Amino acid sequence: MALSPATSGLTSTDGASRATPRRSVRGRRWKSLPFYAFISPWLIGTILLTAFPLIYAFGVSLTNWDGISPRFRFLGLENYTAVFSSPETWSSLGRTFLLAGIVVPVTIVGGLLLAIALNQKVRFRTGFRLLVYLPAIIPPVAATLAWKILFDRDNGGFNAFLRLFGIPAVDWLSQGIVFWVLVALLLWGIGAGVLINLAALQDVPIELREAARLDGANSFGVFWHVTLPAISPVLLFQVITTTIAVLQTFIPVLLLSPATAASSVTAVPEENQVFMISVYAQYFAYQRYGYASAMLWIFFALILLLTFVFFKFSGRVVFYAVDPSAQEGRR
Amino acid sequence: MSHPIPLHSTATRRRFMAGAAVVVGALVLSACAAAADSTGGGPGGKISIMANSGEILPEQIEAFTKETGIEVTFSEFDQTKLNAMIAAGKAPDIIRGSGAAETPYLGTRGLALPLDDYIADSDVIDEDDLNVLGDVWKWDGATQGEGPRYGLMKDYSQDTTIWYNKKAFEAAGLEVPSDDTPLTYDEILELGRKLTIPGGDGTVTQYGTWTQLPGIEILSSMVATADGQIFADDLRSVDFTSPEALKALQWYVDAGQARIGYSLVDVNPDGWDGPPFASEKIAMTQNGYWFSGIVGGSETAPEWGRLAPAPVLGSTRFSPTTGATGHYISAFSKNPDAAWAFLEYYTAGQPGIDRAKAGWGLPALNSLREYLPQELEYQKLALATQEKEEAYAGVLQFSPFVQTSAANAVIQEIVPKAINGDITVREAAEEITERTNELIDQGIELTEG
Repeated sequence: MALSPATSGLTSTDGASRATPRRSVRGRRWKSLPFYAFISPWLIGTILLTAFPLIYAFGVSLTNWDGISPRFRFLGLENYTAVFSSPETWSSLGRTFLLAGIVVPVTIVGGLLLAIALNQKVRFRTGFRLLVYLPAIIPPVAATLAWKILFDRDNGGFNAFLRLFGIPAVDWLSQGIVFWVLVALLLWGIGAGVLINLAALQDVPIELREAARLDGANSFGVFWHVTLPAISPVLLFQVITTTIAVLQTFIPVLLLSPATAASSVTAVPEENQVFMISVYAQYFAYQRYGYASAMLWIFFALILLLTFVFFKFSGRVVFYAVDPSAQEGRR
Repeated sequence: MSHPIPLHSTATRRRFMAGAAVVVGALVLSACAAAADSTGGGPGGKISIMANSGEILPEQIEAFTKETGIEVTFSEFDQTKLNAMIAAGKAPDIIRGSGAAETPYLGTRGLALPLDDYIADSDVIDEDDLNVLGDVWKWDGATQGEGPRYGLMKDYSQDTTIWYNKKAFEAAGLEVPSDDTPLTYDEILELGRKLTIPGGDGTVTQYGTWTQLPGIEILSSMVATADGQIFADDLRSVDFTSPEALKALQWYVDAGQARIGYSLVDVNPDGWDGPPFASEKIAMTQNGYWFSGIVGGSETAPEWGRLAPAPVLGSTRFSPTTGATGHYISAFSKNPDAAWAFLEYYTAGQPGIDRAKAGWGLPALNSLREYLPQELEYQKLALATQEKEEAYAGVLQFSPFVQTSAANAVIQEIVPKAINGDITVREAAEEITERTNELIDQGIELTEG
């Protein structure tokens, strides 16, 4: 690799020889302009919409500010200790992780099985794929409101269906059942994962599968030893993004509840009071901005930790076609 | 392979970061400048309004601007956005608010401008012409209804009165409520049971009573009819464990458990009573005179929708307004004269007359009462009942140290546990008391330091 005079430390007193490196540096600066032009919207966006709010929320989390008063008191880490010592924190976290514990595995496994089924050569395959994917493109607000109407006890479609078989109406949106309605609603968007899995399945090299068959592997063996490892990076991506999305579930919970305003967010049935609902209630119902900001920061750290754990322990079960560490070493 | 774009030029990166910082700074400054511009300007300049677009109409704003030359920037009311604007010292000039629930909070925190001098100098608004229920916008630092006036209501109702479906009562063989003798809450519970029509398959064809979402405004007015109070005299604490408050909470729990109306555990799919009442799904609803607008909007409801007095928990008649919704001028307004000009126009000008004619509430100015709709039978009956009810009007007291919405959030979190039988009514009352007092203590600290 040739070193430029600027980087090699070589100097010259000759004017003509100085002109060449100057043009070179200026030229490189002009060349780099498109790079910075392309990343600047994201960089500025990240600073304004992510970094600044994060730092701001951290500052607020150290106070007892109510979001409106000109006065507030510096509390240090008092809000953080209060969050950890509140039973409400643990119960809402428990509900949130229970929700994720049900929705994430079913979404991943179900999405994979559906993708395998839709990857078969059957009639109307495109139509079936469309049907599975369609719910994933319906906006969550519209989907949730439609479900609220369908699950209405007196006039909902589900109870009308049950009545056909003489089964009494069910209070779907009340305490005791509404959690499962939420689970079903979240699973309704499984089609997005199916589409990703389908693309991953079609990307598995056919020669690998044929080689496995030649070695005597049956269909399950080919799937287990060839297909699954080949698509494992895609599955890991889905596990991480689905987990984060489910942990942050908020709008469907709110819309399924009797809440009609920010202050009535506490009217969400207890079993559906997931962590983000608690955070929202602390901010906008109870106006405890400091406490709510501490809750958010703790949740942010928890999700970061969880993502790190996923990456850390995925090494044994996720296989990359190109070894990322080898790529890194080559650079 | 070489990178087409060099990533290692520190000089360029530094310059880029400096440039990015300038851009960020410029954006922040321009945002501040834009915000300042929206409230700035001299007399006849610009004002900003944050309100409900269904209440301040574009054509009204247009007519105001045409008449006065004052430009108006309108934004939809959003409490979260408003809080952020107030915290940044950039509140809109005119803001929507509930006189009954917010005045002590606004007055104590210095968020609203006193309007008394403007009213004294006004040619179109006379203090004596302002309906007495609008006094909920007054706060002297200790008592609501006394002292400086911080806002003007757009209209009002006595919100604990009842609208009932005459046809449903007749179909159930029940005597319709009197237009001057109030029902007791116990009687309403009993009527609710009789008026509820089960579908036979676990559904309900018609509910007897209204959506039961308990709030501190309604609970306070219930308790007042039993000669009790929820807020302490100094408004620095609440007590939901008094016999009167326990009785009021018990009523909500009984109604919820009896499933004779939508409740926090039996969800109203519409979120409020208007649509189910108009479609004859509920036989009674607790709403003020303003609800005649809903009745009038239905094809059939004018035939059977009737107004009855505010019910009582004890033996004292008390019929407050829990809203007196209107507007106030921000204490941070840079153009309060222009803002007042709009409030004058909106209250006493054509918009005030149009609102009175529509029947969506009683006008803030008594002189505009002549415009109230009186063509249909239900309109005449409703106004007659309303006029009798005014003898029992009064002002509820709310604490300046907690927003009613925060207190309601506590109530609505805990009452469902009692309806579900997880806790007793007394336990619910104790928890609500403790949690609300914590919020009040927080407010005291932030207000008084």
